[in-house]
Amino acid sequence: MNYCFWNLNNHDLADLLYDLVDEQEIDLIFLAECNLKPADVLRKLNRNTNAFYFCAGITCDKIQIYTKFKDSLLGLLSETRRMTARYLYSPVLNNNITLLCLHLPSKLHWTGDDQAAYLLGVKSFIDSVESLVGHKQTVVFGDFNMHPFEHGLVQSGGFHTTFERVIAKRLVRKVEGVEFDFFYNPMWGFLGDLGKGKVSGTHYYSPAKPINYHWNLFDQVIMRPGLIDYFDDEYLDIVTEIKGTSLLTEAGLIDSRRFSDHLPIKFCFNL
Amino acid sequence: MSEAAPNLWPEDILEKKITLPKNILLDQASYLSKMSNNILTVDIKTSPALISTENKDTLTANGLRHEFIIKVPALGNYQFPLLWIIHGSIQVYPFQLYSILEETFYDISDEEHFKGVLAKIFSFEKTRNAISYIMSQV
Repeated sequence: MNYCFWNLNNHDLADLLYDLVDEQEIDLIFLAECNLKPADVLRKLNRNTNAFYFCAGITCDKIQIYTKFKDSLLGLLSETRRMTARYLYSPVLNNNITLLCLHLPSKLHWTGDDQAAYLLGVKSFIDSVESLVGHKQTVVFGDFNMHPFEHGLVQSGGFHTTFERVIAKRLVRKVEGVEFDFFYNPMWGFLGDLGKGKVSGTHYYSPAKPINYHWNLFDQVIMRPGLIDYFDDEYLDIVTEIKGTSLLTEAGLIDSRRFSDHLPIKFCFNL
Repeated sequence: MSEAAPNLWPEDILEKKITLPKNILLDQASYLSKMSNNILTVDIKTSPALISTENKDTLTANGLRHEFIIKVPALGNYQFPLLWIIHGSIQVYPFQLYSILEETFYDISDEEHFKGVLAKIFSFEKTRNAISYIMSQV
């Protein structure tokens, strides 16, 4: 199953979405900062077929989901405005997996306290969903508004990710007597120009401040260890070109004037 | 015969009683279940949490986190958290509340303030919309 996540930054990119889905053979596409009407997106996605459905949510208004699966197969589990958790049946596992898409707020104007408190809420949301379904076959993806190396993604009280699958497969780590489950984060592979892919991030911002990473790898996919063996390493990518249309400027930066200020990510689970 | 030891306790030490925020949440949970004929149920999920004391950048003191999660058994146990609070174990007020649908933090000063903010969140348009949508689905 091929997945795509794209923060559209409220640009009308419906035509490009069709090309993206067609070229990359996407089965499920998740959109953030999308102010397009679902009917308009569906008209574009279903230009030649009736393959795509829109999956409505109840409280989540920050993420839109379009899928080739009937929405009844992508059942709602839990939501906030910025997070939506769905189950999807996997014929390979003969069981459901949990897809959790999120668009976390920018930390720009938050205190350290607010960030820590908010992150507890995100962790609690994941714990509640895993407790509800009774398993930890969970994929989390979307716009984290954090780098893979930031505390929120790495610390035990946050997402508790590791970039090393062997470590992730230890399943848990104890901190002060409490066990914390791992997530595996393959996105570290994109950091730096010797890394995977054509770019070092999904968002580019270069303020005149003492600390500046230039490329931000905010859009990510992370997974519980039980799903690592089904993850397709080769398919994972940051999309920079769609049917010959480059999403980058001639200087190799994101062309946020014509398109979004974020690049889409695509990933696949052989499930 | 030796004199009785003096009572050093202030006379009013047992007079001040507070209603714990969790109990206020439980009361409201019960009201919602009753009003909806148990179509909506509420889970108050409590977990330990670190809170900050004087230094805003350091999370040190022991606290408790209570999350108000609305559940819909008739919709495959669909659930959505409405709000959470984090307060100290001993000093309850003031504490921080986060209204999830409003995406707003509140600094709660006392019990009356807490009840006022809860009433505001329960009346918030997105809360009303979510609940009326769910009620029309079941």
